Amino acid sequence: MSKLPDGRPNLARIIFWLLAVGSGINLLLPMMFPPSSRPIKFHPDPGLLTLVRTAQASLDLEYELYLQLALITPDRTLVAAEPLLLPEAADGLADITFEIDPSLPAVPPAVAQSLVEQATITGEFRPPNADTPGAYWIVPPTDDGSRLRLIEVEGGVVVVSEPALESAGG
Amino acid sequence: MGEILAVTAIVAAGLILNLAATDLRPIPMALTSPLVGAGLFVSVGTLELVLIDTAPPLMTLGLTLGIAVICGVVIGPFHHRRLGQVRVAVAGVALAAVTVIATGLRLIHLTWLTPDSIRYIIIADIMAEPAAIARILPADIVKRGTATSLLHTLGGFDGLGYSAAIGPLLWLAGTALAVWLLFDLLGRPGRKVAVAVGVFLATTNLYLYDAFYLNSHGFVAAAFLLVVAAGFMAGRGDQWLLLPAALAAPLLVAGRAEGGLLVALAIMPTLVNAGLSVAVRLAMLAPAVIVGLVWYLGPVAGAGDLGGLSIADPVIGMLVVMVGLVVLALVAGWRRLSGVVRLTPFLVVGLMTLVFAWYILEDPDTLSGTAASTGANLAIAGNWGVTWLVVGFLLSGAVLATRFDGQHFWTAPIAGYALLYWLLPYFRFGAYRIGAGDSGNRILAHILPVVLVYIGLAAGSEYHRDHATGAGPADSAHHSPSSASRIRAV
Repeated sequence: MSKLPDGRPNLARIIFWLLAVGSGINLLLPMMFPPSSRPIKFHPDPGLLTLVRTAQASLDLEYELYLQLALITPDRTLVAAEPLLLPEAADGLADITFEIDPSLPAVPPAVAQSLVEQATITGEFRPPNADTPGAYWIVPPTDDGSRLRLIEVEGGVVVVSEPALESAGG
Repeated sequence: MGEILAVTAIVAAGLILNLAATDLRPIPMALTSPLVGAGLFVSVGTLELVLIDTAPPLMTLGLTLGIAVICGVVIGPFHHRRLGQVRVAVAGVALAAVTVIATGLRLIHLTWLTPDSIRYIIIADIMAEPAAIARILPADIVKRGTATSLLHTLGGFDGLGYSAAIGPLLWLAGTALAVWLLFDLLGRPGRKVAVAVGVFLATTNLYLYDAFYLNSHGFVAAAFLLVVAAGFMAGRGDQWLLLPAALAAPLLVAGRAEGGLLVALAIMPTLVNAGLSVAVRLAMLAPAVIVGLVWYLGPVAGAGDLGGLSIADPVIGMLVVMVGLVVLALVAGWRRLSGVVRLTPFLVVGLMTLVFAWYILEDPDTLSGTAASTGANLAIAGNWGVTWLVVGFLLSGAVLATRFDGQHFWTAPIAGYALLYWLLPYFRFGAYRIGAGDSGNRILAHILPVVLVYIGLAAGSEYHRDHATGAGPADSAHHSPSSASRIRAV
């Protein structure tokens, strides 16, 4: 062990090397074991925010549960991802209407791909019926246990996750 | 271009205040300026929201710069030292560097967004328009504060939804401050440790991610470090970090739902410092207390019944914490109470421990769920690499094996934050979850720089500079037993 002239351990040197080794391992770990899920990376267009706010304003204010939502244009290009506070009863989702601005710009394909990867949009297609006016897909649970659904509304498709309680810390 | 100028202007406001009102040396003056400017900007914006129900970025920025310039003009001539050519030159270099960095951050898209980020962007968009409060969702008013969204109103200058530059700049300021503190306090023999701490922070996956993640974690970690460090430096006779810390503290109270508690944990050791006057203590508290009370007694109290969110707790909690801090600042000078006052930070930690014990008995499931999630997150799922393994080992060693004067400025906030981490699930919606994106995992970043600086100081405490003389032990002929910098191996 590294020691000072008076025989005490040279803590500074020990800590320097521990931090250095830790830094090296920290650098190597993501290369060896890439994180399984990555956050969304894109630059939102102000028009999308207006759109999402319009959708938000149309919701009834019985807030308790957080739901994720993404809007997809009719040509299946994802244009936004947004958490919304939705009514406690998720069954009411199909009754929500959204005004989608047809002039919205499409997002870059890489962004759409990123969102699709995150949402794991695969699953069983359900056509519209009397109970659920919008077509939707039932998709497998995601890594964190939540479920995602696609609901077609007013010419667009809304990706909605099942309600998930917010954890502490915000 | 507008956003780049706006971010530069915020840093300029911080530089003007630091130049005019402090005798900070050039490097800390430059490093703390982004936090000072951002803290002032958030304070002004929060007051605008409460008073006129909107916070347009041009008005907020104009007022921020105006306040800084007026303070500079008023205080500057009475300040007992000159501006100093070196300080002015460094301020110019800092502004140029900020402009270059901000330009790069806007051109190279590095920002990471999650659904949480988009909520902040939407709120920022609303804040810039008239009649803002009524259009922000009540739950967002209660839990998201104002700081993150206000800072991102700067993106509006370019018609964009957010600022790509302000977050990374504040993160960089905090990280550089951690390195500078160790450089300065440990002197030449400890510089390797300072560099190692900087590299360790920058290679910690989730901490680095917070630089570019559109949320509050980067600037909260930076402001928390600044407030803790300012108290420590004041305890060593150098009070010039107190003003930057006071102006940056609103970033804590307006940045997180638990921000009032963060301010309390960081600032309490400073408030009970017998070497500070009551006026200095109150001045240190004023910005955070004003911003906290104005926001919580105004919009938060008016947010109404939120169903699952208890409206009474955030308002009453903030009121109790802020009034408690003011009372502590007032009575800290009373000789009759000096014994109790000096121990207040540790009494609060003890009280938190009792509350935690009570919650454990009431609801052990939340504790076990949080423990399982925390273990998984720190091991692999949280994207921390080996950071907390190394930090946990070093922190234990530092606490058990070293002593140095003023270490309570670091250990009390660290102990308090550790308890707060375990208490938060009880205050909110249950146990933390497994995953890098869980808020319980993310808030660990707030304490990491403070813990690492403490470890560095503990390791190299034999090298600590004596700030009263500006000399370190290496500069003196001998180490006196009363030196502020002795290691005592036990």
